[in-house]
Amino acid sequence: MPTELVKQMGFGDLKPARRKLSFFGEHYVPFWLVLLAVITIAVILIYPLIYSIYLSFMDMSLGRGTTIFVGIRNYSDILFDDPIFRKVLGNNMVFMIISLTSEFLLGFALALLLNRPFRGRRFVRVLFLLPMLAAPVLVGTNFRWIFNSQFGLLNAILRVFNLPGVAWLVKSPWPMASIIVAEVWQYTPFTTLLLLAGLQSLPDTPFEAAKIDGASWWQQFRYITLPLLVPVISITAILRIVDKFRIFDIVYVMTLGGPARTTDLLPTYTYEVAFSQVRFGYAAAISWITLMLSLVFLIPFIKGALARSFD
Amino acid sequence: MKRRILNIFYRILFYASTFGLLFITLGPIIWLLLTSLKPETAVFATPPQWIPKDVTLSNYAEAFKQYSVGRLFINSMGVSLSVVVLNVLIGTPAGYAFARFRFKGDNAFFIVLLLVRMIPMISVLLPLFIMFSTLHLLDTWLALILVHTAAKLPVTIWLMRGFFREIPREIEESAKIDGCSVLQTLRRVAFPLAAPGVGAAAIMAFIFTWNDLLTATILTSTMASRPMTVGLMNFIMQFRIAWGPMTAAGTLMLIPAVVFCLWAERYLIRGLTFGAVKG
Repeated sequence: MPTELVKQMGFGDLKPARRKLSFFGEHYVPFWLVLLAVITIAVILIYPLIYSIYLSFMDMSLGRGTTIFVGIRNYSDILFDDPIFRKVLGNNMVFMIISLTSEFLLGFALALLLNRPFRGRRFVRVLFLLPMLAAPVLVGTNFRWIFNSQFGLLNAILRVFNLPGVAWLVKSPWPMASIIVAEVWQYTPFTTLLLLAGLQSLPDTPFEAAKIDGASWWQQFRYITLPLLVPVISITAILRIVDKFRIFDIVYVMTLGGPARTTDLLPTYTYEVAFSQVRFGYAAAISWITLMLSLVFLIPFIKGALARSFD
Repeated sequence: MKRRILNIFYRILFYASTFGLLFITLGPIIWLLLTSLKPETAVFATPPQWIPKDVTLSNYAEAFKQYSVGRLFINSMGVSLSVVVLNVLIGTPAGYAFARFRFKGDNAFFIVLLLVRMIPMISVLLPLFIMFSTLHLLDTWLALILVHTAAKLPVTIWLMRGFFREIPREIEESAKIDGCSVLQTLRRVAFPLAAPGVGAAAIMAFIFTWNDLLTATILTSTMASRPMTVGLMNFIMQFRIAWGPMTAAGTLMLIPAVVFCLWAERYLIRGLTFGAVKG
């Protein structure tokens, strides 16, 4: 018999493979491994997400007392009947465009600088990362201190040059500029990091060939570097754009949306509607419109992000 | 000759710009640190003192005494460390499963993971506020830990999956031949080899929990669970802002993040760029 033979050969421990799969059998192992993760994310993130969609079709507010179904009235009110929303949306657009452009320009410059090996480069790179590690709320309060009209560092520097101090956080258009400065200061290291990683993953051969053909630095940059970096640039753009619709801490602490809502952005407005005006349904709808808007701005970059480098 | 001069010029330009940018990058942080060490009169001096004449720790003392910074620090640290531990415990096996197994729903779940990373927290926090309120879990460490763990899990799983994929299968296969079950392989072979991944995931989880404001603002109300980020607002009162002690608290907030960065810079960078760039 086969089993006798098997025993004689010294493989006595082997058993024929079991046909029946039990819950603890090998086939189900991966499910057990992901089980806790699935439960955690489902309960704490996905369920509230669905609940928030449901909320957005309700009127759950302090004024009303009970929660009633209102269909798409929240959404139509926001889009057509809410001048504050429109103003806040405009602010967010301005904020996004200016800060994104600055982060990329500065980030690229920094990445190019850091791409050449030099003594102490690793140490310098760590130092450049520091702004990202600070809490956004800390960055906000710190810059609020620096932009302080009376005692702030910036005005002090201006006065040294006999220039008048500026009410950075009060007189438009400076408040918007101030929060943009804070945001760009904090997150340029992020773009730098990603672009630098991209630059360092570029192959040498195209550049060598171009040099032999006599291409200038700018030509190399424009025709080799940039096209090869499209995936990295796209992914970085996507990550940063998504964040521009989620920024809360810096604005909350520096200007609280003031003066006169000139720096109010979508997240701070949502927060105010939810917890100051206590209109949860309306706030939920705003948050979903915000999400959809961010997706709209992502779309141009998705194609570039999915393209992979040639190797 | 002209080439030489041009080279030297570029070199100077390079070092000048690097230093200039470093100054702008580190300037605010150094200013924060210096302000925290100044006595109150020096803090509000005009023109401001660059380097404090008298160095004092009075701001720190006041922060601890009047503003309970000690308790804030403990809250932050307790929540953040718990989130790190939970993330490693829950995320590592999940990442391993995605790396090594093909199973029904694995693609779908992974896409869900990516999408979840994109949702604005405020959408999720409104219902969570209502949920925790009914469960009487508002203003507790538990609520914060649960929310932050869930929020960081997608990144952790993504990172661990990537790191596990880089381990050659042969090592795990030989472990299997030696009789290890899947869990044993994971614990004894794969996990130690993916230690850098664990490091990266741990740092990411810690820093993003430590620095969070919105979740904590919504889910906490008293010193029982208030972390340092929310506590920073304690210094902003109705008629004045206690800048001195605030900068002290701010410096304290910065220290763990800086320590992590200097100690594990490689893992940090890996964690931040992973997925965006290959290799």
